[in-house]
Amino acid sequence: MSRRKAISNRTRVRERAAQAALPVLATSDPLYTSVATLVEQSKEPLRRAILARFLRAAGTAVGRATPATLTQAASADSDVSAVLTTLEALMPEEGKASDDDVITQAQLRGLEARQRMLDAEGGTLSVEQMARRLHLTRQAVDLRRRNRRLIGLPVGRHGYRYPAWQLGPTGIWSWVPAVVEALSPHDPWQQVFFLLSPHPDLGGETPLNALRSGRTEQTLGLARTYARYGLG
Amino acid sequence: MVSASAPTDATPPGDLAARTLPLTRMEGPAWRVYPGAYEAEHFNKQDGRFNDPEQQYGVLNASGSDVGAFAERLLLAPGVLGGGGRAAGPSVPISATALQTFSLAEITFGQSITCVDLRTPDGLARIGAGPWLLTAPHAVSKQWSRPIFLHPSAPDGIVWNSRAGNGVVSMGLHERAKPKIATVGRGPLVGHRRLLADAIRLFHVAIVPA
Repeated sequence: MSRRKAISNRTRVRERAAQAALPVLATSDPLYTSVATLVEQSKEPLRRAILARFLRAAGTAVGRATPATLTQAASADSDVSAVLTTLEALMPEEGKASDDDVITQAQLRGLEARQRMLDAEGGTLSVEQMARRLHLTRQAVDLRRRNRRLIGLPVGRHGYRYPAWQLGPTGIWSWVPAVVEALSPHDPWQQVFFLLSPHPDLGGETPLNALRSGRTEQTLGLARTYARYGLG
Repeated sequence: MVSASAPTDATPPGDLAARTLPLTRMEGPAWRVYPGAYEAEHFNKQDGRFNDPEQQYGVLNASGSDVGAFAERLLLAPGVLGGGGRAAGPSVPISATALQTFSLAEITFGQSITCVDLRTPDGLARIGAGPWLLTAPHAVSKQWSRPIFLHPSAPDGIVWNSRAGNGVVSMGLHERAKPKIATVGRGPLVGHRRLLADAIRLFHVAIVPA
């Protein structure tokens, strides 16, 4: 069977399933495609169980969300961000939340924060993209990351993403290996948070900007102090 | 983070040794957050607000609360995540990995220890300083370590309000306090749910997964 025919068959199956499940939905409704996908996914027991919980939470969150939260969610850049913003509505009000609720909220915020960090300062590159930019093999890029000459952010099963701001006009900025070393024993994510956060001893400027503007020694000193002591 | 400008001459007064220091007795416990692969008790000779610039004696940096120790050791200034439209203000990111690799240590005092108390304007004025000493770059505040350490009253350490804010109290215990304290590792931060929840409430932390 050709690929086009297979896709066409799958689409027809999805449409029939969605129509059977929710005949009230018009095919032009934005919910229609989503429901069709859900119905198809729900044939597998494990996926069905997770989807049921997922939808129950989503339904409750949308019901509880304030108009302001819904407006914010609707204008989010991505579906994931919209979901995370809405899910916060499931959390109890401040003062009523248990320790576990508070930690869950912080983890939800963390998912959104992670995306922001990946998008910051020119975004990130895959290992292939980084290899092309540096005229190296994938393996050589990976080796530089493992040897702490380059920051690679672990992103679960997707491997690593490499912040693009590590690249200067002639390759990796010379200060990158030094700052990675200075920020040991922190993990790559915490190293990036340090570099992109305003620093009180830099008049609120970020260490990354200070490094770019040539204040290498001062910034490396601050990085070492943060790594061994903290910011206080 | 709170900040205040240091005066043109931010060095300790020449007569500091002759002044009566604002001493207080501390009963403990104190808390420390440290990389779990290292020793729970560590007198650092390099980095800290009131560490010896000549690196001849070490200072154990701790906090009056476990949440304070967490904030002092790991938290960054807010701003990297912007406001995000949240009523609670901008979040401060912390990596989930850091919660596994950093541990909590409890420091108990076998007998009370004597610290120079810089938590009040009066205490700071008595040594010839001001609130700026607690927010100035470490290169400035470190100059005050040695004259205080060498003072005839031989204090066990210094206690001050951290620039992390939110009532966090910091302590720098001099090496001479070592016989009076006992430090016990309490395991990775990720296992301290109450501590984490309190830190999140106070500092609006976002836990970023790897």
